[in-house]
Amino acid sequence: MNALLQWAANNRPFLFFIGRFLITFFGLSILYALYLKYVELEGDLDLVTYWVSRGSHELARALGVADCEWACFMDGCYVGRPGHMVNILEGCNGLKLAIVYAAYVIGIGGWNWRSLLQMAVGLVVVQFFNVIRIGSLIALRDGGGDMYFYFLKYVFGVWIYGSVIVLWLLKPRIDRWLGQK
Amino acid sequence: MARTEVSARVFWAWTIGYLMLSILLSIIVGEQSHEAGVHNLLETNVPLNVLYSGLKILFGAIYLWGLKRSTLEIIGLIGFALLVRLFAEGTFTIALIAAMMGERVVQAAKTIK
Repeated sequence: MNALLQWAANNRPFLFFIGRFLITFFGLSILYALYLKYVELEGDLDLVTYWVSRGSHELARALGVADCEWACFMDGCYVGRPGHMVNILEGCNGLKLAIVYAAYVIGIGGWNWRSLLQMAVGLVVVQFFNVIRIGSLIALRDGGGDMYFYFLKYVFGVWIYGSVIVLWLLKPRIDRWLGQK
Repeated sequence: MARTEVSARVFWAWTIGYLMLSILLSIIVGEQSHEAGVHNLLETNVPLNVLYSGLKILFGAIYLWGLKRSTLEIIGLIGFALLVRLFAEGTFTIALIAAMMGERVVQAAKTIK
């Protein structure tokens, strides 16, 4: 017990980081779960999945997927050309990963305007990376061949996790830019 | 209780290696699911799910051990990542990495002060 108390005394900043991380993570996760419950009761699709699908559709078109179709239902969206459609479910919208990103930012910086601003912008930036991931996937699927499977299995997992880690690495620079000592 | 800190190079070698290995494990399960013709084999095959979860935890523990964490710290951090994972699927690895990155940042800030 003494060793544990000694450890806690030596690691107070880390414990505060973990505390803020968990409070933010659970707060945002509960809000999102309540929102999902609300849209389910309304018989609707959540707006995050909707906008990620729409952004992916626009990106796929910009990448040259001709006649790219886009249809959303209660359980998710289908984007792509008939026969080559990608199904975008709620779990693919990247928001849970974005919530972990936000929890880290608040865990490090605390509840101040700089962290809240970074959290809000970061949530959008992670979604932006996700749109690039899914939009590229639709374009690759349209092209056919092994590239789609290669990217789906190997590249895009690293891409989305890597984007979060890179954003965390940029945090001290953004803090300096925002005028924090 | 003196803490042993690893260099930035060692930290990133372990972190990137751990992330890659963890993703590789998910890819293997994805391949197996694809071959079996199901969405996710882990949902139907309980022994495979137990093996997969055990390997994920083992990789996490090895990662923390590589970063010179004590046994109690490893248990606590694995518990933290499991708690996060419980509410958001696919976040076990990134939660562990977040904890270790966060620890480096707050300890560095403490040293500067």
